[in-house]
Amino acid sequence: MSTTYTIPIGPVHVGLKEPVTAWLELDGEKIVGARVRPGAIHRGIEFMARERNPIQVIYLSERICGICSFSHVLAFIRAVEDLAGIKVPPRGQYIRTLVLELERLHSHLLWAGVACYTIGFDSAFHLGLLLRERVMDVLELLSGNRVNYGVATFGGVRWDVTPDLDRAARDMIRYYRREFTPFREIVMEDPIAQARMRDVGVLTREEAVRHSAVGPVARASGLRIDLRKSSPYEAYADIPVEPVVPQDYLGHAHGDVLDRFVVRVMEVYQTLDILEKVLDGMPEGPFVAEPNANKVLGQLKPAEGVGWGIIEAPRGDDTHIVSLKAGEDNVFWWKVRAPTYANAVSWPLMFRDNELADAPLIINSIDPCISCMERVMVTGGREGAQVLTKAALIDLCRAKTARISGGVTR
Amino acid sequence: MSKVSETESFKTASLTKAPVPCAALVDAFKAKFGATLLRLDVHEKTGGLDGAVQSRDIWAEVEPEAFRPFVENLFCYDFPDFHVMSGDDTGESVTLNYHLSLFQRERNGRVGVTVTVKVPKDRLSMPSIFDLLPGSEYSEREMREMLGVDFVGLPNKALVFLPEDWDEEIKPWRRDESGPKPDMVRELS
Amino acid sequence: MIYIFMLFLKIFAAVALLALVVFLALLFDGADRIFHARMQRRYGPPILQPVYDILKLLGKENIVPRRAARFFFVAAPVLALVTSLMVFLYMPAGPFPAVLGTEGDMVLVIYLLAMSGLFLAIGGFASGNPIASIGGQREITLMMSYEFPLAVVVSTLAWVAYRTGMPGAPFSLETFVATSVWSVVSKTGLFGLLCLFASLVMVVPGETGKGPMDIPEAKTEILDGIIIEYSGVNLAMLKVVFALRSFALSVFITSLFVPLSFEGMFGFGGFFVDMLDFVFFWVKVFVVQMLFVTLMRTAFGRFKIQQASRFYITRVAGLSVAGMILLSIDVLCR
Repeated sequence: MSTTYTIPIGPVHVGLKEPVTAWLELDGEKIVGARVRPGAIHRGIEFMARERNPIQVIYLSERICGICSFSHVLAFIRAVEDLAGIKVPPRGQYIRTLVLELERLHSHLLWAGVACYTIGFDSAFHLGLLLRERVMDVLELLSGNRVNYGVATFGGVRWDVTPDLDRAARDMIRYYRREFTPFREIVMEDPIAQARMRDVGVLTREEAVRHSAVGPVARASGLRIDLRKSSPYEAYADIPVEPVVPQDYLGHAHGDVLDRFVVRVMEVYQTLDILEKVLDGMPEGPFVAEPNANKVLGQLKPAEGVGWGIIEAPRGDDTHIVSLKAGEDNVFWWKVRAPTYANAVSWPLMFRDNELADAPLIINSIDPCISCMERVMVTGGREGAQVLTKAALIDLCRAKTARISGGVTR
Repeated sequence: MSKVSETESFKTASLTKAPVPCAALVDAFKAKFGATLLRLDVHEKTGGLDGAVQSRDIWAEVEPEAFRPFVENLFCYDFPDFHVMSGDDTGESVTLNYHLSLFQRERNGRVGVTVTVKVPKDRLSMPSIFDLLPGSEYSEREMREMLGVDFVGLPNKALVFLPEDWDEEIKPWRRDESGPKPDMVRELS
Repeated sequence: MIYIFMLFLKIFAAVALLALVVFLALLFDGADRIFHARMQRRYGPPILQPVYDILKLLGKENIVPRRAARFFFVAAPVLALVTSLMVFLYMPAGPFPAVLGTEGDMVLVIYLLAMSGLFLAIGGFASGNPIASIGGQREITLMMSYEFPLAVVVSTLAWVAYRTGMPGAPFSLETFVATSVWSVVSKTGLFGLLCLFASLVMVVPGETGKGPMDIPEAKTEILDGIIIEYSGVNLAMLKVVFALRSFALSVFITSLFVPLSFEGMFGFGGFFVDMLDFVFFWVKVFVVQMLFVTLMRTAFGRFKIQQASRFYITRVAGLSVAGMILLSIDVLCR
């Protein structure tokens, strides 16, 4: 009789944000083998893009991921700009950087909260999600949306940074400088959180290099890699960024889940500094090279070739490769590589010598992507329950945007 | 450079080598691979207020036979960071692009290297680079299921993204008869 | 004749008490959820939410998985419910003696609590789901880890009661309700009692399956573990069992360590004082439950089973043994 048994974590699991399956072979609680099978949410987006023109694909790429939507948009746009040779005015570059950093803030706060939830530390989870609301308000003030911002376009951005937004963003930076440290201390000084995350899901420095780990996962293993430093794009060319690695804070990089937590938490502080520099250094001038979308499409029509856009998304480097064909309206082909794609290869290594209880935490520690859709039901009141239609929800969203922007409507 | 230093470079996976300027790399590639190097372009990427060049990408197309030596040669400079493979059906052949990066430690140091290989459709087979760069596993499996290229030496050839009950005769990204038929595609609005 | 009358009286008292206990347990569970939510800056559900949940579950389909061992799967929730209800028949309700107080004592209470935990684990094993089996294994492991400190606490207290001549049977809870155990020891013993109290408090999360020890039901790891396959009436029974176990532990701690009463303060008894004490007793239980169940589960994340086991076998057991030694010194050297 075999002494091991196999249980699946996923495809749908309370501890996971994304449908992915990890078949774990267990001996008691100990993991002796792991096989990861993605594919539960493959939507064929790259195939769909072949029947859409580049402007339409911007909005398609925004739907790849709910959290790092802007990173995907920007990676796609930079790939097209690379092949068509479109230049972006400096103000456009700075606004892009601003949104990128806001998104990083949003993503890291969400991840820190969810990591706490995975180890059953619900109080810290709710605190983390409460903190995240503020940055989402700022993003909503900029774009009118909480997740899919629709900000970027070829040659620049679609929304300008108004004095209102500048003030709101600076308020937000002050808020996080004040409120984020207690959250960090609650989690990092909690003995149970320490016991749950230290030496769990270890990826050594050499393995991180060999398996092409990216982003916070690679940095937690001690690698000083960050595309914002090694190939600065947009405003990072003017704003120096140093990779955040755990050895600078703890003296030694373990490459475990706690180090990934440290890296992301410290990047929050770094992001606040970058945001301040972006706001201070925001140049005057146009924020888009060509505001008319039809003219942009006209410029792109004769373009031919392959372009490579690569940026440092919150979860690691996000690579898009786009090919256009001269005379064709539609994107010829497109390849997206989300950071999870690269980090997922390392999962089987991270599972070694861990327990079943660690498995969801390890899966979450690389911060896998998710896209989500919501339907709202409002209860209470004398009238009882009431289901809101899509149109009513959109009206409520507009009302809220108007409220937080102080009655300023676009 | 000798073969020994190359294998040592695979063993010590670390990103510690000093960067080599892009122009020097281009010259070295041209000198080493000569006629098997079919095409070599450099894309420059600018950024910032003054619009200065911030990084460069090398786009190289090589003969299928020269592909693996080309990748092994990259290990002489630095351990390459594998990003992804992209690919397309280009009529008589399937084009594969390997996207790699060198020198990611220094500021403005990164050089992106794209290696393009045209695999003829009558023998759709490539040497796997899984033994050199295990990070390429998902990419090779994806190119196998999407474009039908076989990778010799890849240990796990299971499907990655397509469902378990997928008909493996159909390769979604192909533009010829092995691609999806129009009746398989459901148009949404 | 009088014997039959007493029997009827006892049956009536038992039914009334159990009805009250189930209602209070669910009410306290609702309060627990509200306090938990408020501490996390959320609103939380209405206080009667657990009652609504139970009512809803009673109307739902009761599914028995095809691969389950049907008899054990169906019997486990019933037996767990029966044993956890029986616990209350042997515990005094404030000023009123336990309904079956003459038939059993603290040892039986602990035994019954362990039984209900065991039936939960059996239900998990019987469901034929590997995840539930893992939950069952974890429940058993946890139980084996916290039973030792629990036994040390109970036997030491009984020994103290016996040696210091507290009126009543040493193992009876009523003894501790009638006379405060804090009043019969001197300074060294006070420290010993504090050690015992702390170890008992640390056993609470393990016994109730909440707070840092919600390992057998870990939602984000094994999807509610032992109860994963349960639905409908069976699940409703299990929900009541979980509420009852938290409640029983709170009653147990209150009876042992918080014997504060109006009767003691006023120095006289009587019907009205007894009624006041009866209400006051549930207030004390409420405070104990909020402090040692709700606050604990809000303040900490979840242990892994090995860490939890090690924690009980070394730290908590050590603490309880230290309390035992201190109390022994105190009692023997007087």
